[in-house]
Amino acid sequence: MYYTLLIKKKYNFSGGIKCLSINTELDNYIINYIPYPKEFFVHVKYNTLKKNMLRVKINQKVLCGEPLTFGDCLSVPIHAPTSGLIKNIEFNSNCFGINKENIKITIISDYLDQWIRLKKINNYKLYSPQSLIKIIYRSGVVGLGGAYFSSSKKLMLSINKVHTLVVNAVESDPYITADYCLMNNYLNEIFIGCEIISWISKVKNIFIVIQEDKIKLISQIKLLIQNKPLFKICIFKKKYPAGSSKIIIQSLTGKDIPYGQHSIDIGYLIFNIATVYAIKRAVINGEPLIQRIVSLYNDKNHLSKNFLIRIGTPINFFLNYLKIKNNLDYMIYIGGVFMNNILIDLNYSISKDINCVLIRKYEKKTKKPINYSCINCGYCVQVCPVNLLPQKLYLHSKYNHHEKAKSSYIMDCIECKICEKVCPSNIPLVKYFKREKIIQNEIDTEIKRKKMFFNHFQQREARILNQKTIVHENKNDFNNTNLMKFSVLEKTSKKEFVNKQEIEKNIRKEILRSSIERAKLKK
Amino acid sequence: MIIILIFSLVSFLLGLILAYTHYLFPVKTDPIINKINNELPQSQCAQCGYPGCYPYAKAIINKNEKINKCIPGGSELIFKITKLLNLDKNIEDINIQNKSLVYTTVKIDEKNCVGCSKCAIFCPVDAIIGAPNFMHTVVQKFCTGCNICLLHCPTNCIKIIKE
Ligand code: SF4
Ligand code: SF4
Ligand code: SF4
Ligand code: SF4
Repeated sequence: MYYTLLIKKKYNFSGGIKCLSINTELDNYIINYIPYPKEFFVHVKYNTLKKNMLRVKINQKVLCGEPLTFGDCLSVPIHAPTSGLIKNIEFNSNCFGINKENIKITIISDYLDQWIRLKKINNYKLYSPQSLIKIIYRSGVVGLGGAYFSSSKKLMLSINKVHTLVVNAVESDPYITADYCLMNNYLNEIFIGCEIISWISKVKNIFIVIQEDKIKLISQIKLLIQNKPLFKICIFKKKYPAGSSKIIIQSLTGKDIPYGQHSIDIGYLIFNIATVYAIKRAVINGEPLIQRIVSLYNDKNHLSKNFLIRIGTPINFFLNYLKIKNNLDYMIYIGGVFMNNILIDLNYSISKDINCVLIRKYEKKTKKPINYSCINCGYCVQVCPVNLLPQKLYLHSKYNHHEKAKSSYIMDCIECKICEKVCPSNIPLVKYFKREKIIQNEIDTEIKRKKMFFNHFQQREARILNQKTIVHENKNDFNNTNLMKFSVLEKTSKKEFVNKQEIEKNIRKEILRSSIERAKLKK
Repeated sequence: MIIILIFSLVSFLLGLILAYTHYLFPVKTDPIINKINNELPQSQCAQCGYPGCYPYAKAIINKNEKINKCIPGGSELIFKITKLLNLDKNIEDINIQNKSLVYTTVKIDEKNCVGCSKCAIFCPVDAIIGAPNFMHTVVQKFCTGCNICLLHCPTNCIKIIKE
């Protein structure tokens, strides 16, 4: 047990569940390559308000790495994964996820794989942080741990604000090995990526967070960081869910990040290991982000493999290549064992936020699990890693008590599905929470809209009042105090003041109303 | 006996203090009116027959006005007000389960606009801009979708669009 001597302290958090480790053979961690398919489907998520993001047309030739969309302040550009012809651009192909519209760009590959000219940078220290961030933005790097948050924006926010960089090498799901595989193969490049980030945001120390069962890797990293005072290694207990940034910060510092705030606000910058690698590739090699490592996890024979896949490869092709053909026998999920979302459309392609494809043999359920009512056993409260009260949230969201649900911090839930797993009554808790979160967001936008409208209205009132005072100051027969009464709000709260002007105004309003009615009749 | 006396004295004093504070800081607005006003969409479009949302909310409480007059709010709003005021009619025939939020705004067909600037006068949130005799346009971000301007355009060039 030589490694236990090296470890001073294991970081831990309350709640969560321990996972059995699976027997993994070493060759499972080697990256496998798969050939390029004929057709790539690139999905672009977009907001309804930003429709003119596209940069390409149908029947246009693209080169590998050419940007397909314009980015804006929220989203980064997306690049062509291979060279070829753009065959089709579809809107609103809603195949995965609810309430998300996207654009689907179909590219036919010409198998030549011609790249655009890449601009390599050898010494990044000659560039200012701002220009480096611009390069990262143009390369389309987003958080590859599943967050899909633009890394350039994160870096931009972090300048002069953070003191610690946390490199997250903890797998978000216990049986995914994508991050481990990446570290095994590209450890040196990851270290360069860390240095680039520390150069950009001037951090004072770098924590590498890793789980305790990766013994070989830990000793390897320890050797590498021996004469680098900046780096430090933090070892986590193997537990689910440790991969969430909220939980990592909580167990490292003991501080909670409330909903709406970011870890940057308390001085920590978190990057997934795959993102760090992508940043290194973007800055040093000038490569845009067009490929990522995806784990394939097979439930039955524990055959997990990692693949380096171009973004946009259809999952159908991927499975065909692996000779998993009889799709009726298998259920395909996106995400790991815990976070799984069932995949409806097999033409959906690998996007930047998919880190695992889970294949399970289809089992006919002999009887449906019955959802009993909550018995207040409190198991869910014990396991929740962010210290919420799932039973309370469940009641509030079931009976539509939106305000109460909000005040019991439903927005802090990280949807880890642990409470659902331990619940003896088989209640699909996270389903309720997801629905409630959507409703909460709707309520938020509604309130914002109302406030905005009311502000505009008040501004208009003020403007009209201003105009009137100017007119009357010229006439010089009214004081300002009387004029205050012409404002609609003012008038309705105090009614005793009636004078000539007001009667005139009432008559005008009467005419207006009758005209509106007439117009309605006409319609 | 003494205890009763003391308590009655104390409560009398407290009552005095309460009355005095109420006299000093009079309650200006009825809280229930404010609550209803918060539920109204704040478009200030006057389609309910009142000059704005607050007067309508006031009329609901003070003048027994019907609650179904706000057009932008729709059935969702009627349901909310019934819940707020504990009225138990109309709840059955309001279908709120599969609602979908669709915000609308209007758009001016800019080729046909003659620049009479009639629409701009009536917009309650100043979302239409343009000078007399020049083309007018709608600032999409500010438009509440209340459709008042539609009725005033002489050339019928304002169209409703989904946001
Ligand atoms: S899903 Fe949400 S409520 Fe349930 S355990 Fe995870 S964080 Fe807690
Ligand atoms: S685990 Fe299930 S039954 Fe037990 S308190 Fe939580 S929701 Fe209720
Ligand atoms: S119809 Fe509705 S939105 Fe328009 S003024 Fe009346 S209450 Fe306000
Ligand atoms: S009312 Fe119609 S024609 Fe007149 S300014 Fe407005 S949009 Fe143009």
